[in-house]
Amino acid sequence: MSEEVKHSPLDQFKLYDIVPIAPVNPTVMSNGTVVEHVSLLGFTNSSLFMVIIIAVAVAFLAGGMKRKALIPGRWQSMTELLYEFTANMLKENVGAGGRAYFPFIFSLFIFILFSNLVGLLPYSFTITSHIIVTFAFALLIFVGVTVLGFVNHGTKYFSMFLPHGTPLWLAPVMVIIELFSYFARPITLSIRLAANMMAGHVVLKVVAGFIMSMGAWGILPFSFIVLMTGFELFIAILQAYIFTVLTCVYLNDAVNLH
Amino acid sequence: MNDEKKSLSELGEKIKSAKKSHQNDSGNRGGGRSASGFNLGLELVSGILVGTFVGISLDKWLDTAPIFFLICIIFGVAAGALNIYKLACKMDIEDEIDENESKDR
Repeated sequence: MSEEVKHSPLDQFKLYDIVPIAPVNPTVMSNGTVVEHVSLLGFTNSSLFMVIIIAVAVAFLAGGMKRKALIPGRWQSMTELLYEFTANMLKENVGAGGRAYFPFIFSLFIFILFSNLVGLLPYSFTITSHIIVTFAFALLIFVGVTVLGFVNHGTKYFSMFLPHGTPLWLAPVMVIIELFSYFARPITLSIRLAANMMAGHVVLKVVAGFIMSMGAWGILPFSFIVLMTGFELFIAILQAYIFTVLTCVYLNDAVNLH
Repeated sequence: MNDEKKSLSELGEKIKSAKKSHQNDSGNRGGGRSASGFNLGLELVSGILVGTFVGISLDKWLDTAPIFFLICIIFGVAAGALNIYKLACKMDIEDEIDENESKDR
């Protein structure tokens, strides 16, 4: 009986050390339960999957571009499609001034797309379901875009925090509110991706747990899972797209101010 | 000879028009289909989170608990509402664009 209880739908998000470096002692809570921690600098399953994702992405892109045919084959068209999709996204949202940031946007999109897709495979680990990973991305983008805005526009970038046509007596309040809404950007960006990925994976695992326990009626949750997996595939691609598009929108503020 | 000149000038015009279309599109069509109910709720939550975080850290720094926490959480809610307003405006614009496009077809 106890073996069945062990498998929680949340087990898939557990981090564990593969190569522990600088381990942290487990904490004993006040009610006696022991909470184990991953080591401070260790190589965890999350790190392992990041390496796998980069390897898969590089293999996919390099393999697609290997033949360099004038008339692309299937594989080459897939890589070219990804390239053109990202280039168009950048052009639509930032314009001609954004071309310099294409390498960053493209790597970001490919990394998030592949981590979402690799995470859908059974027994794999979805790194984007951890808010710390997506928040690290979002914070990097946020800090980068802010620095870029000040480099490009100097102190004029502060005009972002004052909407046009604000009455003078309202200006101090509006500046603070706009500043807060500016700071909310990385949080929205990271929570949206992590929450969507985590919710979908939990639903998949919970419904998968019903299959065995419902016996012959297990066909119902099983067919639901088939539908759900297709839907999750869509969500994985959509969320990668949304994350990248919003990065482009923020970049647009920094490149062409108003 | 004449044909060559003609094709060259044609090419020149093509390049000019291509350059023009490149310069014109410093486009501002952000968001895409990203706006949905979940996103609207998320904006409010993240606004409150930022307000709480800034407020508590200011209080810790200046040792004035809970004054800044209370002030900042109000600003956080306001910022969240502002973000929702911006997102809703964007949704409105996109809906109008969609309607116009479907009319044109």
